Amino acid sequence: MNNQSITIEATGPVMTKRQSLFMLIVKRYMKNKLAVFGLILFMILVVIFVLGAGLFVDYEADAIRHNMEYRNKPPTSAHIFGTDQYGRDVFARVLYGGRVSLFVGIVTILLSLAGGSLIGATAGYFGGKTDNILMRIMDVFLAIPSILLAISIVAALGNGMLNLMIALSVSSVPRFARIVRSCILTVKGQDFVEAARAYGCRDRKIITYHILPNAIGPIIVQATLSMSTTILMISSLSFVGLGLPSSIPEWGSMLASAKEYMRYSPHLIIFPGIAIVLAVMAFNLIGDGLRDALDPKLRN
Amino acid sequence: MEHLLDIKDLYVTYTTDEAIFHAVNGLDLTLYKGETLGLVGETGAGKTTTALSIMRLLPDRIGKIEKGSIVLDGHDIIAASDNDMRVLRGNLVSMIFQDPMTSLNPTIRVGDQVQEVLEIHQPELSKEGAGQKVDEIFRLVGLPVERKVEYPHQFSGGMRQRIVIAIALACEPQLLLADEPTTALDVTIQAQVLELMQELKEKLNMATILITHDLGVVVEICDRVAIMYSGEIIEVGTLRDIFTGDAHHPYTDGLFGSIPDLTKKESRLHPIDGMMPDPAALPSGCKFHERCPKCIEICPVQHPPAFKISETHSIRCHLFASEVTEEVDAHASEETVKE
Repeated sequence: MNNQSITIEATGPVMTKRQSLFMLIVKRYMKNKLAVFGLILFMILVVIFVLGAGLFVDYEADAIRHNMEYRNKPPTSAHIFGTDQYGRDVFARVLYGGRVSLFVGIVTILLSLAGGSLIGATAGYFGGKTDNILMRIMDVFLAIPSILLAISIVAALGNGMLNLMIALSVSSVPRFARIVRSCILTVKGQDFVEAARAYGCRDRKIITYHILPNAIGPIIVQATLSMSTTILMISSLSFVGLGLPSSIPEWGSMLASAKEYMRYSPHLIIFPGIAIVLAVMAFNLIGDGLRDALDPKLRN
Repeated sequence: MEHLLDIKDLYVTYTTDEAIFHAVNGLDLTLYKGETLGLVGETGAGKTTTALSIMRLLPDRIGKIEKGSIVLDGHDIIAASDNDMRVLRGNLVSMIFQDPMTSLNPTIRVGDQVQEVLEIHQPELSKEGAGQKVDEIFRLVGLPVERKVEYPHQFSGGMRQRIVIAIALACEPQLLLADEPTTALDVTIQAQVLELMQELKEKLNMATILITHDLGVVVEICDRVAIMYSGEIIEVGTLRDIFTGDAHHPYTDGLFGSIPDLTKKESRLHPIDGMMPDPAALPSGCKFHERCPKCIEICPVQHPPAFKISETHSIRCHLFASEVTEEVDAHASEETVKE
């Protein structure tokens, strides 16, 4: 007991100091009204998709089972977003679609961030031949439009959530690699990196401990901004029928199957469309806000 | 006295797309254990290049040691493997950089930055042991221990230079390379930092190479002085040899002529005419002859050897050929090494 209180005392100032840098960034972020709006929007969406979908909607009954008596019905109090061509509740499908989009989006971003950081950091730090070889390979990938690349990967591997994530990650790795490489290059030239070499730090530790934390700002921003592109990509791939099987609710595939009915049942397009717009907007606003808050030139 | 560092006939070049720059040309330097040597010269004389060569931290693919030998405490620096070199850096030899504002990592707490060096070179140390050692080092360089959890941006310039010194001294190296450690600081802080370095030198008995172009700083803490010009040492001697006496290289005379002297009534300073020779196109013979007021016939033709004026004092200038007692030729000494 006595011991414990001593430890707490000893770590007390550490905690406040650690927060001070973090709090500074939080403070700067909070000053930006639009960014705060984006963050709130994002949190509302997460609450609705992650908690709300499970609580209020019966997945099997509302989102999956066909109910031919209620085909293409406009919004009513029972089905607030109306029903689709198979009589499924659009509200339920939008909610579950959000789960899929967020999950696939976040996993994709993490995968491509990991891959891109590894390649970009290696290329940027070691330079010379390593840099040339790695970045020319990335250039080959960049030369192919990312949506085409993703389509061909899905076509080769087959439909499915895992393959979708692989395809999207591979097609966005080159963009991350370039961003990380350029960040590394700007930080690499600074004195403290030279100083770290001068006291015998290993290359791997210099990259992970000294360089990456100082380059993290632009990388996080790129990640949040890519999140919105990824959500759009998932929707586009599903729209052309290469994303997830049409039984799984997903915003893109909902739009795709609704396009035949949109003239008479516009709600089939409007609600998933609004969901996509809101999610993309939330990520873009957060990304913009983070870019300003993390800008090292304003830090102090 | 025991030699700590021996540099013989060192040549370093920087290769860029436009030209090859000869930064260090036949540098000979000996450093004894525990002494402080001032390495003085204009910008571009090759001072920093020399220090980086000792650390073997010349920029990749651009800087290259063409020939010569560097032996530090029995270790052949030029032949050492990259990993051997990494182990020596920070352990046997440390370097302090010019600007304390940029040589600390802004995202890591200062205590952790000092501790990192200990963790690299003394992995047998426990977490607590390393932490205690950090406290000790903080006290040694006059930093409040409780501030080790703060970030570099929360410190002033002078405090940061103390942290930089703490990092450099963490493993008690034999040799400290200080590359203009006070240039970026204001005068009062400069005095504090110099006092600290002086104090530490006595406490830890380590040798220091102090790179500077401030002769005032040299007088303050150096035992010996080496004057560098165009990549070679043109005069080396004890503090007394360089700052008093009549026998000097014309360039050294020029350097002192460009400093205001409070005791003399003179209305003008006497700067040295002209510029340092372009390291991409060095002049023939003595590299200083184009600017030298005492240039004689032989100067543009023949490169002067280092003439020993006394036991401690040698000058690389043809003017001293007549009063020379012993000729120390770079190439002659190279042959003795080979034997």
